[in-house]
Amino acid sequence: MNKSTESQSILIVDDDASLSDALARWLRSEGFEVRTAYDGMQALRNVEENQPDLVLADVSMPVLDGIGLAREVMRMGIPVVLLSAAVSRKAAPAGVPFVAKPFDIDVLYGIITDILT
Amino acid sequence: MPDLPDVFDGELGQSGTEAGRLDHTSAASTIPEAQIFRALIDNLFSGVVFRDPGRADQLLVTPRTLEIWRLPQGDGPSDGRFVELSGDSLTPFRELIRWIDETLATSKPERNRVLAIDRGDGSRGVIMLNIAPIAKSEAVSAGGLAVVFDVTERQRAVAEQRFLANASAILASSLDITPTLQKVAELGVTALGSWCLIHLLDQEDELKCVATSGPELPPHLADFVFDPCYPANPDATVGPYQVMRTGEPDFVEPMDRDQIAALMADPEDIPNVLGLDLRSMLVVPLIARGRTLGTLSCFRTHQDAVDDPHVLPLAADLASRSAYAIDNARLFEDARAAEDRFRTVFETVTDAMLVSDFSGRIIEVNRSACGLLNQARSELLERSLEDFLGPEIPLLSELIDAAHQPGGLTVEGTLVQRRGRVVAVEINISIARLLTGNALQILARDITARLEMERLRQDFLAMVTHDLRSPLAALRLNAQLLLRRGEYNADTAEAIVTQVDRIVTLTDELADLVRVESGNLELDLQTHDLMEVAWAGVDAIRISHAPDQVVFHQPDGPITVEVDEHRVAQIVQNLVDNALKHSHAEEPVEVTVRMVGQKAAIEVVDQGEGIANDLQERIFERFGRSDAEKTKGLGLGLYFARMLTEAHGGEIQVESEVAVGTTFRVTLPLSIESQ
Repeated sequence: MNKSTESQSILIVDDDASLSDALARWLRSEGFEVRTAYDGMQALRNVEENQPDLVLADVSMPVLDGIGLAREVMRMGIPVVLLSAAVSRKAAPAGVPFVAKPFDIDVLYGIITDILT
Repeated sequence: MPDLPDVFDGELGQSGTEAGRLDHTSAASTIPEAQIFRALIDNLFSGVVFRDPGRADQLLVTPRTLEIWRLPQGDGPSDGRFVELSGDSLTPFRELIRWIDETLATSKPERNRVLAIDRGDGSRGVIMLNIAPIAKSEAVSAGGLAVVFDVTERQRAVAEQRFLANASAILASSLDITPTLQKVAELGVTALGSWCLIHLLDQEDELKCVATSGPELPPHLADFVFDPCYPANPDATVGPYQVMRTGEPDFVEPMDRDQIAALMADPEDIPNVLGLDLRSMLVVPLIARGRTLGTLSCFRTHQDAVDDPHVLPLAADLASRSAYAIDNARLFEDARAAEDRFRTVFETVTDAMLVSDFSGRIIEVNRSACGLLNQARSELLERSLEDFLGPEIPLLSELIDAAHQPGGLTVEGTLVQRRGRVVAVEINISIARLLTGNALQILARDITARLEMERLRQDFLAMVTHDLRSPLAALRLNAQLLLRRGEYNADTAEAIVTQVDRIVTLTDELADLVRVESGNLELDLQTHDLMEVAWAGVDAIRISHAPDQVVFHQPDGPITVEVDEHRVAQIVQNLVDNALKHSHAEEPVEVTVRMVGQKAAIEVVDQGEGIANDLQERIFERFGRSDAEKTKGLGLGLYFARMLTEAHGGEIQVESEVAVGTTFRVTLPLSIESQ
């Protein structure tokens, strides 16, 4: 794994704690600084406070969903990767990578590192 | 015949002897006037009667006069031109003699006087007469001359025309056939006989009397003439049954014992009928469009005028007119019944039906159409169909083309209601073939509910996919991490187990759904204490929650029910799970097991957000979860709770107030031994 990612931070947003926990464990082990949030609103506050380098968000969430969150976060110039259990892209904003669940971690890692380097 | 006076030997005769001609200047002057008059009298179609006031006991009549009176020619002295009548043979002429004498007394001619006469054969005739006094001098009458025309036939023709015109007027007056036929029978008596009856075949093909007229009869005689005893014998070779079989008129005269016996079913009735003094019976068929509908019967007694050949055609004519009137009334009745049947179907079908002409003008709508378009019938008729077609539906011209194809055209789209509101519909357009011409027939069905159900199904499918993919994503991630590290990691392995359990729970729920939907849910019914069963459900939830978040109130004593313990525990689990989802962590959910009336009850009470009234009906439905909810799971918890409760013969109810809380109550029947 590329160790140049060490200082970079990622915010994981998913209402499914089991998935976000596993993601967090993995990405920390890859050397990222990882925070988690369980819904879009919580995520937005976190983004404003911590200015992460990337937001990895589930599409389907209560309060503010991944699509709405992506629009807000993109406006701040922070890149977003969307994860979704739905098969179609639906209304995902243009230019936002869209990864269908379940995903291959190598593919997801490739997308993340592409954005961050 | 020396005794006979020369009737032309009066004033006329004298003028004849003076000049010997009628017209002194004419070329025919060589013929004596008397001869001309004699020839005239011999060839007159009218009868001539001469009356000499000096010989009051006699009357001179021409042979033609006797013919008119239907008297024999043979009696009395005759000069070959006049017959002298006297004594009894004057009797038929008494009325005429009275008129001639009256005319002689006044010396004023009488013209076009109509007189009814009794004729020698017993029949009645009508004559028209002109009476002229013949003066011997200014003061003395030489006699009276009457010229007699037989107008019996003409009078009869006029009377028959009037009779039939009356009949037609009666028959045309109403389509209610029974009272109309009664009037026809009453009219028939005036021309056809003493009694007139009409029989019709009823729906069971039995001949029934529907109208009678004539003098009232004592019961034992009425039995014969009137229904139900007449016509008594269906096998009779005379009378209505025979006419029904042959379709030919039947005229019976005289009505002697044999004929009456042929009509009667019971010979004991014969003397009664003989007492009616019947002369004849005429039965004519009522035939319309080749079918014999019934009969018209006329009875004449010996007191009625003699039957003549005109009665049969008159009765036949009346019967024919009546038959067509009956037929018309029945056709009208059939048409009206058909219209009624059609109307009933048309109005009661749940599909909206509209009929329009090819210009799109609406000519008929049913009740469902009024409901679907939310407009009164009067507001729709005469309007253009195009006013109601939504944009997804082809233009009228295209609809008309498509309607002519076999099966017509079926499309989905919208119809426009009042104030621009639209309703989703499936529409079939075809051609209606009406008597008045072809028209466009539009069947429309509200598919709002169907579309909603389709949308819910799709949402459900998306939800199932989503809820399976999320744990699968975590499962795959954890498995990949284990592979990558190549070493055992307890957290990762535990996460894998949790994800598999989630997937199993989901697939169980789906399997339950299939069982419930297909009615294949099997219950393992055993006798249990409801408290224990409910506690199992509560306990399963408490494992994953703070201990004081669910409070359990148990009853004073055991409540015995016959239930599938796992399913009832599942009901409780679903209700408690739902209550926890919709309430705040600091407000506990309370579960109470108690008796309510004669039933066992489990109540689940929360102090959460509550359910709006309009949503309360939907929460127990499949896919009834509101759109706003994004909770995990298929949203089938309350639906299962209801289905499982009902499978146990119980009921589930909800009482809720927004921002106050919700109470779910499941009531179950007690086991038989505890009742």
